Formats: sequence, structure tokens, C-alpha cells
Amino acid sequence: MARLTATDLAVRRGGRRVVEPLSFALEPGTLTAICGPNGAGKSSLLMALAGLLAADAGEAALDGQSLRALPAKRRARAIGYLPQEGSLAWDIAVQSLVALGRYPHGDAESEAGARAVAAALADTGLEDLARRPVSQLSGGERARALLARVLAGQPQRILADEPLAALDLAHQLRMMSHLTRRAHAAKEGVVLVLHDLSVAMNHADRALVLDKGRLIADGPPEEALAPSVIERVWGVKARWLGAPAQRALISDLPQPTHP
Amino acid sequence: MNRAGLVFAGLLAVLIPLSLLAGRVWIDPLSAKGASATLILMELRLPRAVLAVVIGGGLGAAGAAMQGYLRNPLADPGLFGIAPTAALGAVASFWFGPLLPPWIASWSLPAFALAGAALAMALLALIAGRSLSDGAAGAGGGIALFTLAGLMIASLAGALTALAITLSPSAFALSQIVMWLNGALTDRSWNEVWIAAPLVLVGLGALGFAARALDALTLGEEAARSLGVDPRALLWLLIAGIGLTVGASVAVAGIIGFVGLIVPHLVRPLTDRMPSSLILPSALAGGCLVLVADCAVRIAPFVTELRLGIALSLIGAPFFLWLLLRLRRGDL
Repeated sequence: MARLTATDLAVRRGGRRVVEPLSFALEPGTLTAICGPNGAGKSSLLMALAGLLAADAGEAALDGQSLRALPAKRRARAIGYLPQEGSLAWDIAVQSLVALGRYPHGDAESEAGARAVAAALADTGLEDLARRPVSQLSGGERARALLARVLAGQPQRILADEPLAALDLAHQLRMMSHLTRRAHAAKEGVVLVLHDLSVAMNHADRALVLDKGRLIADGPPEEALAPSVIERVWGVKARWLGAPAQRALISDLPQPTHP
Repeated sequence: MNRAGLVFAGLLAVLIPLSLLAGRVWIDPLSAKGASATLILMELRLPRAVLAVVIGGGLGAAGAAMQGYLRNPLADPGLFGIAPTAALGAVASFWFGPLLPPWIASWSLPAFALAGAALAMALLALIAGRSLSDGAAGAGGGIALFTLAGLMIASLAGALTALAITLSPSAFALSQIVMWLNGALTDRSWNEVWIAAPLVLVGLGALGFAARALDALTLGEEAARSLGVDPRALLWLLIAGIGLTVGASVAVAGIIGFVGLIVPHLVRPLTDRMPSSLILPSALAGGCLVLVADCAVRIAPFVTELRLGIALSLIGAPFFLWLLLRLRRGDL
């Protein structure tokens, strides 16, 4: 099982501490949302959890093993990371893009690799577009292709940095239902950086709220994203409307209370 | 081998025999029986053809690897100071060669050229490697820094080469250096083939090892690292691979520019555009290009033979402009 833990984890980037020491354990089979205002350190925390940034203090560990001590390919087989920036250097076919997910397994040309790639394409509904160059995809298809690349690696954990950015409403819902399904499929776990608090509230099992690199709230979204937390962190007076899993955030005042 | 590889391997199989016939003296394959024809073929044209293929192969593959690494279709080993620094090393050997013991002296030119190429790659790695391994910089910043660092190294090597020319120890050394800087395959023998071929082969091997990691780099540096690519190991493989292929070619033939820029563009449309699919076909296509260019300069009606390096620059510079225009239109 893939239990992802942060123990007094702090991250430094560009000479500045962007994540202050924080601790939590992410159990498998859950969808966790990392929320916070711009510059709160969400992406840096996600990268550290993916083993891509060295810890300034403490450590991030997978099943008790420090991520930075794990061999890179073993770490990559366990953790699939989807960066926010999805630019591709070459106009490759969707199939080739998805097959890159097999890199840590080194078996893109073998039968097992081909099966995983086919499954990822089917899972994201891209079978018919497999031979199409990426430049000819719509924004939504492209986002699905990039996700399929991660799925093809069959990771135990999926970490994605704002996977909904640049997606329209229908594609957002489709992507979230997809990721929720992956999370609740017993062995996998999903960690997302999310800007849209309503999405976090309705889809996540757990929310971590960061502000200026500090962990402000951690728990079920109903608690971690309570109006009091939103006011404190974002400086916006707001309340939740609607039934559970269909909540919408309404801000009472358009102007922030922050100076 | 993929389709592009087969196409250029087939082309090479046709071009090599043809190239043996072309020159100031045309050899008729049906009636060439004389001793002088055999001599021309075996001791002049065959080594020259093999050397053209070896050098072109190294430069073509180095270009493909460089474009993959920088995620930029305009990258060329020559534009990043590697060939100029290798040439500076070669020029330095005209100075320091005579001071060395005789058994080393005959190897000093290729050794100095290789050391120059390695130095340029190491400098590039030192300056730009740091930005490439820092996730915050992003690919764009990394590429800009790499390009500017390469330009700086190229102009420094150029200035030092000019200095070496102005202060050259003798008129003979001066003409040697200048002739040498405009790469050529004239009067090359099997000796040069034995120097360059092993180095180029080892270099191609290193680039082959880097190929899969270059594929992963298509996704960007962060995603590639998340897939388990070790940026430092990749950088060193490229330093070895590009340093050996470009260094070896400069060591035996002087500066032959633009091959690494042009060739991947000829190959790419025939492939799935993955960097790993380009490296071997680019080596074969590079061999074709240099072989054809060398035959062209051999039979061109000039008083003396046109230098190969000059000829390829005359082709390469407009080609680069054409690429820039396509890039501006967003076709690249």
C-alpha cells in the first residue's frame, strides 16, 4: 500500500522557504485536495511529495522510505506526477505521448507496456485519437492525453498540479470523476492542487489548506474549507450553499477584508 | 530500424559507390582496371568517402540529440560553441604540438580538438546545467541560458582562435591554421578514418543511451524527472556523446557547420518525431549529406577545390533562415 507521509517537511526554493515544517499522512484510496491562495506553496509541496524537490528539513516518504533516497525509477513507478505546464517539445502522436508513461518501467515496446498504454487510452476515451498528433487535439483532449500518460505508468499515487486549469465545465467534471474513480480504486491515491474550492469541497475526501507555506487546516473538506477558514486564509467572507457533494461557494462581500 | 533509418541507409548504399567515381578524374566502373585507378579508389576516394560518412554521421546524430535535449528545433552543436572550441583546441595544437615528445605529437591535433570539445560541453553544463536542474527556472529560461552561454563560449573561442592566428609562429603555421578552420576532407587518408571512426562510434553509443531520456524530456524537465530521468546523468551522456562526435569530426576535418542543424529536419517528417527515433537516421542522413557535399566540392569547376566547410555554410545559413521563417509561422 502506498502511504505517503510528510514528517516536519519543509521546502526551500530560490533561496526562500516556501513550505514551513508540516506533517501529515495520506492514506491510500483517498482523494486529497491541496488548497490555498497564490504563492501559498501548494505546487512546491506537491513537487516535494513527488520527490522532485529536496526537503529543506524533515522528509517526504512513501511507505516509510524517504522519497529522495528511493532510486528515481522506483519512485517514478510508484508516483505519477502531472505538472501544470503541459507544453510538449515535439508534435508527437497521442500514442507516443501516452507510451512515455512507461519510461520508468522500460517496457514501452513489450506486451505488458502496450497493454498498459492501451488501457490508459481506453480509460481516458482516447482510443480513436491514438494516432493523431497532439497539435490537432482540443484543450480537453490534450488534458486527457496528458493524464493518460500518467495512468499508463500504473502508479500507486497520482499527484496532479491544477489538472482542471484550462478545462471547460464539462471537461472539469469528467476529469474529476475520473480522478475520483482512480482514488477510490482501493490501492491508488490521488493528491491534487486545486484552485476551485467548490471542486475540492464536492470531490475531495480530505483537504489541506496552506497559507504562506503553513498548514492552516487539514481534514474533511466540510471542516478544512469551513467559511471561517476561507475568511482567514483568502480574506473572503463566504458561505456554502446546497446539499453535500453539490455545494457551491457564495462570497458575501465582493471586496476582500485583507488590507 | 525505423522507416527513416531504412530510407537513409538505402540512400547511403547508393551514394557511397557513386561518390567513388566522382572527382577531377572520373572513373568508369566498367573499364577501370589500371593501377592508378585502383590507387585513386582505394587510397584517396574510399577513405575520403568513409570519413565523410563517419563525420556526417557523428554531426547528424549530435544535432538530433542536441535538438532533443534543448527541446528546440534550431539547436546545432556548432551554434553552442562546441565546434569552435574544438577548433581552438586544434589551433592550439599547432602551437604546442612541436613542444611535445614526437610519439605524442602526431596525436596532438585530434587530442587537443577533443579536449576543446569536452571543455566547451563542460562549460555549458556548468553554466546552464544548474538552471536545467532547478524546477523553478522552467524550460524556457533554461534554453535561453544554454543558448547565450553557447554564444559566449563560441565567441570566446573565436576570439582566442583569432589571437592564435595573429600571433602565429610562422607563415606556414598561419596558412595551416586558416586552411584547417574551413573544414575539408581533401587528402585525408585511412589514418584519419582510424582516428575518427572509433571516437564517433563511442559517441554515437553514448547518444543512443541518452535517447530514451531525451524522449521523456519531450514532456518538459519536471515531468521527465518525475518519470525517473536523472538530469545529471543525461547531461553527462550528452557531454560525452556530443563532445566525442563533434570533437572527432573537428579533429580530422576542421569545422563543418550546419550538418547537425539541417539533418534532423530532413529526418523528422519520416519519423514519429520522438528524439530517439531521430538519432540513428540522423547519423545516416548526416553521412549522406556530407558525402554529397564533398562530391559536389570535388567536381565543382573552381581553380582549387572549394572547402567543404564553406560549401556547407553556404547551404546551411539560408536553410537556417528558412527554419526561422517557418518557426515564425508556427509550422515547426
